[in-house]
Amino acid sequence: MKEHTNIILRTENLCKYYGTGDNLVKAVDCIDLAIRQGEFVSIVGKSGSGKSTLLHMLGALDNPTSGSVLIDGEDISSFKENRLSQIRRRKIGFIFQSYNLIPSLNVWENIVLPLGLDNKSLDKPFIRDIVKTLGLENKVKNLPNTLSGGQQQRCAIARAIAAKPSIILADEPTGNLDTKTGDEVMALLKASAKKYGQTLVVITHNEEIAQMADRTVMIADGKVVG
Amino acid sequence: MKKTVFRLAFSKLRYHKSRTLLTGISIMLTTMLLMAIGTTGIGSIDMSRQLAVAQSNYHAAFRLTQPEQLSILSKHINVESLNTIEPFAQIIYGKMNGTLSLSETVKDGIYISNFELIEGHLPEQENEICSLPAFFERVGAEPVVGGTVTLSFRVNGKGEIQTKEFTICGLLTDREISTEISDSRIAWSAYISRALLAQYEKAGLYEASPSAYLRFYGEDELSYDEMENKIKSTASDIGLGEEYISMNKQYLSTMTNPGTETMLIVVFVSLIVILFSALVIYSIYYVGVITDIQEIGKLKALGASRKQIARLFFCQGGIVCAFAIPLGLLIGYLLPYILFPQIIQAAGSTALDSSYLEYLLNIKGQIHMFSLPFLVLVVIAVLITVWVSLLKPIRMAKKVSPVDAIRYQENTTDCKSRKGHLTVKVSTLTWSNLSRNKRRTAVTMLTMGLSCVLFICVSAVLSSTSAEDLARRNIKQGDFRLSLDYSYHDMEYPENNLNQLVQQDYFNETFLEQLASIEGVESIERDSGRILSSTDMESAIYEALDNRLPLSYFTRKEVPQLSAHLKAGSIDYDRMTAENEILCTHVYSFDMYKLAIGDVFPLTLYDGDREIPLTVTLAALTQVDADYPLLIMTEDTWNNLGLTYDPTTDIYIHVKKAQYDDVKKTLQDIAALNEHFELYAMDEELSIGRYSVSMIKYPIYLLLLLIAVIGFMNLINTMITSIVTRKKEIGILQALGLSNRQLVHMLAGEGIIFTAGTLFISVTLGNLFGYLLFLYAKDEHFMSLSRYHYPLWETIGLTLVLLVGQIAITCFISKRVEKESLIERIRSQE
Amino acid sequence: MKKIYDASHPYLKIYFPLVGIYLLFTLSIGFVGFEFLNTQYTQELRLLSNIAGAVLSEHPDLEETLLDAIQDTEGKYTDQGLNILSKYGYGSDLSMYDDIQYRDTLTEFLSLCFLFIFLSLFIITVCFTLLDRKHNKQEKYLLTLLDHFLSEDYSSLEQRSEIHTFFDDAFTDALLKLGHKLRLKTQMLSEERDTTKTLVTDISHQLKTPVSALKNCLAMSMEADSPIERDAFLERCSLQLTKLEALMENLINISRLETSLIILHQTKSALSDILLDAVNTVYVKALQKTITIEVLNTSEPKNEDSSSDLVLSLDRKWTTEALANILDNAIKYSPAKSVINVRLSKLYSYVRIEIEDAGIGIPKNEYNKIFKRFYRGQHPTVQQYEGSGVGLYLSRRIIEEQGGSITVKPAVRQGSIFVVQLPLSG
Repeated sequence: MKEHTNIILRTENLCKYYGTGDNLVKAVDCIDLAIRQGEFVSIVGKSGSGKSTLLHMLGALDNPTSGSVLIDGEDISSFKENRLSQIRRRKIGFIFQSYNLIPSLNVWENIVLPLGLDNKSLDKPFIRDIVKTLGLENKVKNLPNTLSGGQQQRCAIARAIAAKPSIILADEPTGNLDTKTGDEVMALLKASAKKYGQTLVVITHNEEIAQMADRTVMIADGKVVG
Repeated sequence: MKKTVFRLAFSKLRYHKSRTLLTGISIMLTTMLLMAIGTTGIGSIDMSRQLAVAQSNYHAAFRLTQPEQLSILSKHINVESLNTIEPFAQIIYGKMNGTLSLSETVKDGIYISNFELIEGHLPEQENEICSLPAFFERVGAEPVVGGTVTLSFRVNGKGEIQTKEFTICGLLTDREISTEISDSRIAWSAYISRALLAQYEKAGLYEASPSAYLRFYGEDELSYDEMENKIKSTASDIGLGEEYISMNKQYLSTMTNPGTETMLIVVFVSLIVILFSALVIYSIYYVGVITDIQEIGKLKALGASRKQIARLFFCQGGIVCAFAIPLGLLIGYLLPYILFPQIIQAAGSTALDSSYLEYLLNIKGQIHMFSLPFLVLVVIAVLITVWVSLLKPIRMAKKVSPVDAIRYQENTTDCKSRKGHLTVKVSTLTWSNLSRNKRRTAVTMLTMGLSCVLFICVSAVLSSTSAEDLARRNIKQGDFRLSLDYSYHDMEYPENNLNQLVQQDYFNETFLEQLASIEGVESIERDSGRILSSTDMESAIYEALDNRLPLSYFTRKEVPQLSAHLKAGSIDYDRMTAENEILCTHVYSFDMYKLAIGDVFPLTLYDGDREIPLTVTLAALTQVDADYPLLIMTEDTWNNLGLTYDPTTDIYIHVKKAQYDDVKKTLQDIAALNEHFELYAMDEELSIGRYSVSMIKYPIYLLLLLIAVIGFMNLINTMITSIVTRKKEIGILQALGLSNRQLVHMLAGEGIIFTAGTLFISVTLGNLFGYLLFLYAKDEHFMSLSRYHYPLWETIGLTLVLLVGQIAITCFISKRVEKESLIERIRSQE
Repeated sequence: MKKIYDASHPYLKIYFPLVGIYLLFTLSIGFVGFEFLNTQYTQELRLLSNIAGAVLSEHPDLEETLLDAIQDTEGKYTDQGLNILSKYGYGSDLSMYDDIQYRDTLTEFLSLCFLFIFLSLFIITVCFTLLDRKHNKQEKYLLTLLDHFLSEDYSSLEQRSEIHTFFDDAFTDALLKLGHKLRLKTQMLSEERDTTKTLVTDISHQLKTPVSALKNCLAMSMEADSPIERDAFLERCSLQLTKLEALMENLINISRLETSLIILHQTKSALSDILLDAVNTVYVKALQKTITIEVLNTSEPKNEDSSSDLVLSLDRKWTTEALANILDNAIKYSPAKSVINVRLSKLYSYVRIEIEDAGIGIPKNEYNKIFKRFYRGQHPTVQQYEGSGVGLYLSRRIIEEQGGSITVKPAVRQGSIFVVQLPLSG
């Protein structure tokens, strides 16, 4: 009942194919997903199962071969590149396995980057709060390469949260971290998302990580299997 | 194993296509430039050699005193070839300066210009004669073989005038001899037979005084001094002193040190080219290594040794060289091969020196420009350049540890933190990207900047060279200069010497009045005059100037101007008058002739036939551009000499613009009347000046342009690598919401900062150095520079080219980046 | 000693050609030198005859003087001759190079010398290249051979002659020895593996029988009518009752938690106290199974505040309950006399508590389910114990409500590790 009212992210018959003929690879094959506002969903699958492709399409980074992605009820597949950039910086926060911080910018600048790209004014107390929550108070002036992996990923989380997007998409966020740090980062991510009421979609092949989610979607060969 | 490295290198080259292309172009351009510069150098050396040979290829002429000396010489071990010329009689035909002589080849190999038989044979019978067709025309005979000519002559230049009819048996060179040159200035020669000589000798009417024209072994191996020694020792072997030797100095110095000066220029320019290209190639590879660190790390992790990594890079360099060098060699050779003769032809059409260029026209296209050792040298130089540019990047690549394959993040800034901004804008991104790799940014700006500095700097000098300055070298003031064409110390024709000419008083008041009365002449000025001097002292200046040196004077009014540029000693008009002191006006000559302040010269001044003794002391050295001879005395000293004749040598004529052409015609007629008059017209001098300026300007601009292109390669490379290596980063930025427009803004911003930095460096440093270079060039009297002309158009052109090139590159690259999908970019390197 | 002369030795292989080239070079230079001298002698003889002819044909009377001069070794006439000749440049300071005739011969000689040098260099290079190629072949073969060994392919061991074509006797033998030894070890290893396999199968078979027997026994006792059997049945019933009681208590907790009847009062409390309380709660159960609980602080030593005085903002009662549940769970599924390790470590933002048991462990596909309400593991052992599937759910709710997290992962050897992360600052 609740599940049908609060859908923020939905896919309908989403497909992504690569190649043609004998070489046709169905990276994502007719996936229907519905993710509620504030939900924490983990998408689990082996590498090559199409989960990353799915995430990229959810985040408007990639165009589906067929089917549609609806964010807040809007079908984004019809949008132009400019509108997509807007969607990406306003509604979606990305967290990557390899942090992908901009090496030439310091931690603070990295965090406020999506805001800057949108010409938005800063909600400084909010950002400070995030920085504090993620334990980066003493590192704001540091350049990313002087940080440990955990710190970098926390910075990436802060960046994803900073623009107050409704959806945070994380692609193997702990893939490059040791277990302890990984667990910590996941706990932080989950707590932060919860604190700021954001929907969290995490891709992982690690079932230990997946168990933190409210819901787990298993993917194999581009299809949802459980 | 080696094969694997080679294959890897090859595939890497193919993968980084743009980088390979850029390195290839840079190497190709470098090779091309070096080859072109060298080929031009070799060409011009060869041309000057050919010119020297064209005059005559003898090393020395001996005036023989005894008949047996000839036979000894002909068998002497040092002698390569030998010709004799015996002046037999002086031709009597108006003012003509002609000789009948006998030329005999004893040992083959001497070439004398105007002695090439084109028709008939050399004289054998006593009544046979051969000479230039022009000669026969001059004496009123038809220049055909078998024709006859009657000549009057005096044997040995004295005694009775004899007249004899000769049969023309041969014609020499068909080269044209200008008929406008006055008779006394051309030494005509006609050749007769041994039979005629023998006839007169038997009769006791002729006394033989042959000269031997000789070539010696070792022209190609020995130096000038060694050749000189050889010549002198040979002369002393046959008992001849130095006074009997006349060396063909110009030919010998051309042959024995083949274009040292040209070589020096070639080496200097080549070094500049090498420096720039090394910098560029280095920076391309440097950037390449930085961006490849992960890949190198992976190779290391797979077990590649340091040596293999080094070999990989050398292999890459080698493969690129293998393609680029031959291409560069080919273009670099063909370019001057095609252009050089055309330049010579162009030079010929604006005749600067008719006889010289006439010859140039004849030899065009046959100039020897190819030299295998030089080619090898260029290849080696380029290979070494590439090798040196590779050293540092390879050392960096060797140091890469396998861990870097996973961990490495480009980190050349040492700082751990960044002050940063509270908010981030697109411009923040631009700045942070540049400051991230300050060294790379600096290296690129520097190479670009340096070539631009070079450009601005040289163009400052070039734009200051003006045709007028060059023209003013010959016409100091006014529009025309009527000049006395005199010699210093002509022993054969002493009537041409200045001290003899002044006796004629050509520039007397009547003549000046006649000039002034010409319609359109505004005013007439005469120069201070010259007087010839000689000294018994052994002095380098006097030797250099044929033992006569012109002197002039300065007035009290000119003292401040002279003092302003005083380099040594002191100028005090009264003291100088009292002490008979003189002033040297040229620093360069002062050093060259090893003069010193305080030198005392016992001089003899020549006023007509009168000789005035005067002992002078060198009191000061100054550097002025006004029209002074090397040594000047005070006006009072000059007046005290009590000259009998008016020493004026030049008259400057100012003319109304509108009547310039009319006056020119009148003046030309006046000048034609007197063989000692020489007329310089401003319009002609200007066109010659313009031509000389363009002859210097355009090749240098071309060279600078090519250096700039090499520098530009570097910019392109930096831009491409900075974008390609940041593909992922750009992808992330776009994932974070950077729109395409913002991306283009960011990249263009970077490019504009590069351009701005480059421009800043080049405009500031370029103008500074340009001005300094100008001052230096002015000091050295290069191209008669006088006024500094700011290279405005050149600067604007450079700015435009940089901006347009910059924007073009940015647009091109960002288009290419956009083509790739976002996902591919984000995923790259993962 | 004999080995040194073996031609296959690489250094000797290069030595012989080198010596050969050196000899050839010396001989050639000598020969050319001889030819050079010979030519000069002939030329000089001809020159002499020429001079003699020239002089004697005109002055036959000088014949004696001339021959005297030719055969004279003291050089009586040398000075006079030099005097005459010097005006033709034939001075005593004349060098051979100044004379055109001699210079040509000299140039010829020198260029021949250079030619020889280049030839020698070329031959040496060729020798080295050939040797290098042979070397490479050997290396390549050796690498292939070793590769085969590594991939447990020992077929090359049968082809001694092939190996011998590349290497000498001693090396071949050593290689073969290595191969044989490796083959032996591999065989031994695979035999051992087979033994273990059968052992495991045997044990499981052994286990199966008593378990099924137990099941059958229970079924039979249910059908029995005798009082003794009934007593046993009652005993079983009472056991079920206790189980039910525990279940009830948990259910109440959950329902209160779910309906927000439990309000967590987060106050500053020492983690050590909470942990102690939790351990105390399960202490009796642990004692019954003689299970030891070891608490270990693995925080980095540089952290000044060890866990003993780590003060967190937590609801003391409920956090104790949550931890106690996990510990209870651990004790339940751990074998008797095992050890339960509780490790504390302080991270950046969290305190990490790892509770490791040596129990049956949890299959991967159940990770997400065990924290769900009423979920009970599929494992027979789990089914065997009493439990309601409520405890872990409760723990999770309590911990997550306070900003923490709980996950489970397999222990290295056996059992599982529950990881509880509690935020350092509220």
